[in-house]
Amino acid sequence: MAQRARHRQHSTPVALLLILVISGLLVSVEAFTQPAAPSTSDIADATAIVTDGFTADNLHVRAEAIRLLGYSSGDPRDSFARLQALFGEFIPGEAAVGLPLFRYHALASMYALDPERTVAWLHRHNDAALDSLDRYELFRIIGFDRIPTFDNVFYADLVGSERGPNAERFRTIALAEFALIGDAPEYAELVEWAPGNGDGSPADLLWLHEYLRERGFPTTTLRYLMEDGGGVLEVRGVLHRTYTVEELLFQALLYRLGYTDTVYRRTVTTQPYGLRPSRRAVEKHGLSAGTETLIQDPQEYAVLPSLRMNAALARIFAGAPTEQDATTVWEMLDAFPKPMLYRYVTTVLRAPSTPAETELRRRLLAHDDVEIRRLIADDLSGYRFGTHHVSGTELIAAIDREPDPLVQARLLESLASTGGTVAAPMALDTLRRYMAHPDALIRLGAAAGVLRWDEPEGEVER
Amino acid sequence: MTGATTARGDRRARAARVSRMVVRMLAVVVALAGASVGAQTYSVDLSQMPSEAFRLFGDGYRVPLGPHVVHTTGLDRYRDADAMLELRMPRPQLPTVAYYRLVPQEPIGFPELSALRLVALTAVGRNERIGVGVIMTDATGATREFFMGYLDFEGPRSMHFYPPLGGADRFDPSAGLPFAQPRLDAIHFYLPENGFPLHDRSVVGVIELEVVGR
Repeated sequence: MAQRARHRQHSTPVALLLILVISGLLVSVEAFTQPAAPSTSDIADATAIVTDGFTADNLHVRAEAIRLLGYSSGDPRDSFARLQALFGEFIPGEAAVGLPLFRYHALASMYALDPERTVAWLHRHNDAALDSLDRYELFRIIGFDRIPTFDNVFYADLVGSERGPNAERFRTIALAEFALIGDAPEYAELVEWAPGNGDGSPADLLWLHEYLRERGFPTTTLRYLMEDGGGVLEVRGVLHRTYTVEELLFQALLYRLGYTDTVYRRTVTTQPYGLRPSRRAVEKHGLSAGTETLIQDPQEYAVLPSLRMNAALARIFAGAPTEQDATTVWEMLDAFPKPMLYRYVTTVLRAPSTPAETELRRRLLAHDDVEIRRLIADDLSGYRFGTHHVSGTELIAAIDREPDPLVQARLLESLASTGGTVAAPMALDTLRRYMAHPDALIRLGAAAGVLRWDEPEGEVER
Repeated sequence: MTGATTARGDRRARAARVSRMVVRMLAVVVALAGASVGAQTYSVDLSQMPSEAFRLFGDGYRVPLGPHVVHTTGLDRYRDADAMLELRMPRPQLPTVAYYRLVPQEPIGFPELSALRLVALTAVGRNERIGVGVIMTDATGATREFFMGYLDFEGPRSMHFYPPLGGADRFDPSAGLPFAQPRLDAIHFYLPENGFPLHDRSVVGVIELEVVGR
């Protein structure tokens, strides 16, 4: 009896323990089956961080807060008015201090909050807006299809005077014009934007070629147009350089779009090639002593490091890499001067998702150079190119070991795209942890992760 | 007959329009002359200031926080300026959004001013698209940025900011922008967002700050 009583005394805590364990298991199973999401208090905290950042002394922090205001949960009308006030209605001297640093962030946030109101406001200040904003940046934010809605003599004349089939052609011209006004993106990108080009209308492109030639547009652009339009290129007194990275990428893009069935490779002829790298490239990076003089032997030319690099990049950019391409790019990367390296890395970031590309991206995220890591982090967070190819766990490890606050902030922001997955609770914990960080920029990065949680765009590989 | 009358009427109307225009133009010229008579020019010779008079700060994220040394150099270094306050701004190698802030250590104020007509900064550019903004605060505590333009030229040049004459005073140039007793807070240098730097650092100079007003 006494033993039974003792047994009963023991059984009660055991049962309690069992209940606790079972309920704990249930909760954890629930956590795995139902995607975790930021709580209301998380979102309120994140919004408070963004609001604080809006008045920060450091303009860089303020710029980030302005960029994120479009995502915050505050009253959209208030947020819109605050952003609009930064521009001071385009009156000189009325704009907020530091506007040159964050005007495009502010515009993008305004557009995210209320697209139609933003465009109406820009239309109201037509001339001032077109004068004080870079047109390429402006239309990248509000859409290139809005070009004709602005009252501008050149574009109004081009686009407004034509209806029907020619409208597309004129829009293409306007796009070409815009690409060349600003710090021009490659023509390859232009092809992607231009409506109607995918329909295969060589006559239009040839016509466009003539139009642009009359206006003295650069030969490279003309050549692309001509080739794209199926015309015969006549080169007089122009060094037709094959193997430039632009040309290879353009051809790689055509492969991606389905215009050609092989990644471009021009047959090497007996023509002597003049590839003279900059003095800095030769002295500082020892590119190749042999490239200091004109190379007469086509075979010798064909094995130059930059050509191997370009060919590997072109295949990655085309979405058809070989097994060796990622290793080739990675191993050769540090031999090049930094501006070229930047170009190479951004090419990788714009490439479609392939094993080689993912592998390169992983390696680049751990690159010694902070500026390369910044590029990758910008891309992961959707700040630049907006693709996601690194797993949540990898990201969290990268965040914890990262010494640079800027990279850390961007990586935290990119955690948002892990929403609704198994990695979500871990990602949320990390975001909550970093929302209490002493550095304002890192706090903003974590807040961005919470505010942009579970955005539909982006593919996350795990 | 009717046609001749109309033609004569047209001529009269045109003559009246021309005379009205001339009168208006004269009025503007007189107003401008009056304004320039009333206006005072206050200038600060930055080139003669010691390097300790200013500190140059980066944003701490994209570019180092600083402070960086500000040198005063002479004619022998740059042929195009007798002397200037030279600013050396370390730059990231890749295109990025960043800025520097040149802050006076002692207050630089213009206590006699009540309205601004013009802010001018003579600066030395090295043909990089670096934006320059002069930040000033008035007696009421209102802070404004007077964006001067870009240093996309080689050598010294005077960059001007004219406050807009808006509202009821639109055609009265003598009014100026109400901005009493302004003081210089800082001069901002916005590094170019696109394009690669030619060197690891950008070097620019400032020579003189001029404020015109009443």
